[in-house]
Amino acid sequence: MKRNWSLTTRLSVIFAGVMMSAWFLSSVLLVAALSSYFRHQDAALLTGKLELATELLESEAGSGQPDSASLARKVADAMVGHSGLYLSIKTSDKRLLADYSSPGFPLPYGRFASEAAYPDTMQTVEDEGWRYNVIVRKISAQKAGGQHDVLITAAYDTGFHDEFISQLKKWLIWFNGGLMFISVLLGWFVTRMGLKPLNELNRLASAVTINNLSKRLPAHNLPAELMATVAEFNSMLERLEKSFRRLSEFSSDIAHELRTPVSNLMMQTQVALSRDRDAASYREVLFSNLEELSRLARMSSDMLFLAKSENGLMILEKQNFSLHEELEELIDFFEPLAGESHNTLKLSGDALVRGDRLMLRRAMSNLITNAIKYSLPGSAISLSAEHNSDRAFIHISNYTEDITPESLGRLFDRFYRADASRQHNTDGAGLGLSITRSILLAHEGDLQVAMNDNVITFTAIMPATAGPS
Amino acid sequence: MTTMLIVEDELKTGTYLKQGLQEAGYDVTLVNDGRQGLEHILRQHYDLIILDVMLPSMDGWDILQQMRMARHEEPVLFLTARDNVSEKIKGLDLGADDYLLKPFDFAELLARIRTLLRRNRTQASGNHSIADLIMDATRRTVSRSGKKIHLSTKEFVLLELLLQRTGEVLPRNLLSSLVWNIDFESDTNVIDVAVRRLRSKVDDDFTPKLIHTVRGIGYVLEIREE
Repeated sequence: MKRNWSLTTRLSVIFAGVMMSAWFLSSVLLVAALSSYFRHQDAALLTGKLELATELLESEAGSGQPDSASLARKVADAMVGHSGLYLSIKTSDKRLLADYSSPGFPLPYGRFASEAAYPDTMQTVEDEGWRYNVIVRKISAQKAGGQHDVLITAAYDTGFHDEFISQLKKWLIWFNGGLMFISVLLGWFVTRMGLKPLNELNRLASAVTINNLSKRLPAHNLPAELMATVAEFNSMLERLEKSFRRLSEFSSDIAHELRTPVSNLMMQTQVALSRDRDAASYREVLFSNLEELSRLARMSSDMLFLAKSENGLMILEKQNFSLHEELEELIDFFEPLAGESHNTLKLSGDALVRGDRLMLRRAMSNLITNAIKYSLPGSAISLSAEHNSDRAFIHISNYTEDITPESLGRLFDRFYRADASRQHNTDGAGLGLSITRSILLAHEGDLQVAMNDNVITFTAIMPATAGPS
Repeated sequence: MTTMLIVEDELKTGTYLKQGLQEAGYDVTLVNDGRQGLEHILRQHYDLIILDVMLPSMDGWDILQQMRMARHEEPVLFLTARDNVSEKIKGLDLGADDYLLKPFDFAELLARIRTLLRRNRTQASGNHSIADLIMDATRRTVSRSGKKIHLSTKEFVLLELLLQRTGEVLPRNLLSSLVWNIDFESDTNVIDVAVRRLRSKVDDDFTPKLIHTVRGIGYVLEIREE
């Protein structure tokens, strides 16, 4: 199971862990260094005493008349004042020549029965509750002035040092324990401090609702690591705000667009019912209602179409076809309408495209309809198709006096009609260009508009047929 | 008399459909529930069945599937409020003969119904004549009162369609889809303009007038008592 630890907990634990490991390691090193130092000290002490005893033994041997009692006295004199020290000189046949034992370090005689087994280096021995370091040195019979080799044993009680080390260890354990406690607290505190901007962000972010989407998180005074996050977050807010604003504008537009026909319908019907009329008048009212209702029905299906395409629910049945052929058919269809306003439709160029033929036909027909609607009567409307390696283009240009370059940017807005006076003619709800664009976008194409000296040009971009055309 | 079954749970829609179709001269039975609808279909023969998709107790797809499994091959026209392409495909895969998206023009429904009912009979194609108008479909000539009339290709197709369906009111949508292959509603009165042009050649200089506007619905070609 995976625990979901908070960032503060994680960082505190890591911080405490690192602190503790460092302290523990240095404690261990300290103890080890001290122990080693004490051993060296003991070794130096014992070696010194051995040297001294050797000298005494040799000078006693050199005096021509070795005297065990005199040796013992000299040794005792030399060693006096030391605590925890033991020294013995005996022959290899176990005859004791001299020995010394500090008070409080009562190593009984005979304890070193097997001294011969010890080499000339320091050993640590544990023996019936005592712990001591010991060095045994062998002096040859010749040097010692007798028939037998002589063994000098020097031992030093480690009790004092052991006591010190164990006290130190105890102390270090307490120290480390306290330190652990402190470092957890400290870690928690440091992490809290470090994460404060994050908590602040959290607080601000949780305060964002639909009503205050315009709020932004403050990007100044922030640690560098959080800058990018906050910037990203702010730009997300901006996108959300934009979409949301567009959405709410759209719904209020819808409400507005619905209100006019619905109130017309209601009023007309109420007036018609207010007194008796002849059949022809009723028929008139019904016809007029039917017109409004058709508009409403069209608007609702157009909006459904847009909603679906925006949610990526448009299903494209793709096929390859020639733009020229398609446009020719559309011109065939629209020719009579263009003729009404003495506009002519001129077609040039060709391109093979891949897409949903019906959808693209709808897109192009919207563009042609617009061109006819907003053309200056008697002018020509030109349609030209072209392509490059992967894109096909249709440019539809017409001469217009209804559209100003300033209103160009609003053309793709839903419910926008370039000429306000045309609001309630036969034309649609002002969704034509939105639909055209959504169809092209669904084809991974685009719709662009440009204006030059009263000539407005819409360019529809769509995928060209792959391969040589 | 042509018999028809409507399975539609929306009361108002059902009632108006029934009234409209009865007034158009059909013998109509209306049922509000899916299971009941299927029982009717299995019990007796109808010339045409109109099914709503969303129905209580059993939806339109299930009814269609069950009746086709029982080897009832009556033509079925679907009414659906959802213009979901996959649903259309589903309907046609299951053997529906046609579908209409709500909201639809009643005139269009009538036109589609007539097409479905006509499907079994062979289409009398070739020459048409009404009053003093004569169309020779094979030679693609039209004359009135012995005078030759020059029509463009599309005008010819439009006139042919009106002649084939003399007396039937043809909605604008149907005209644009059958003549120009344009399946969506145009923002414009382009059909009206096209019909006006045809009229100016076929009707303007002659009596009686043959092409009539049915306001709010569409066009019809017939001889009317003035």
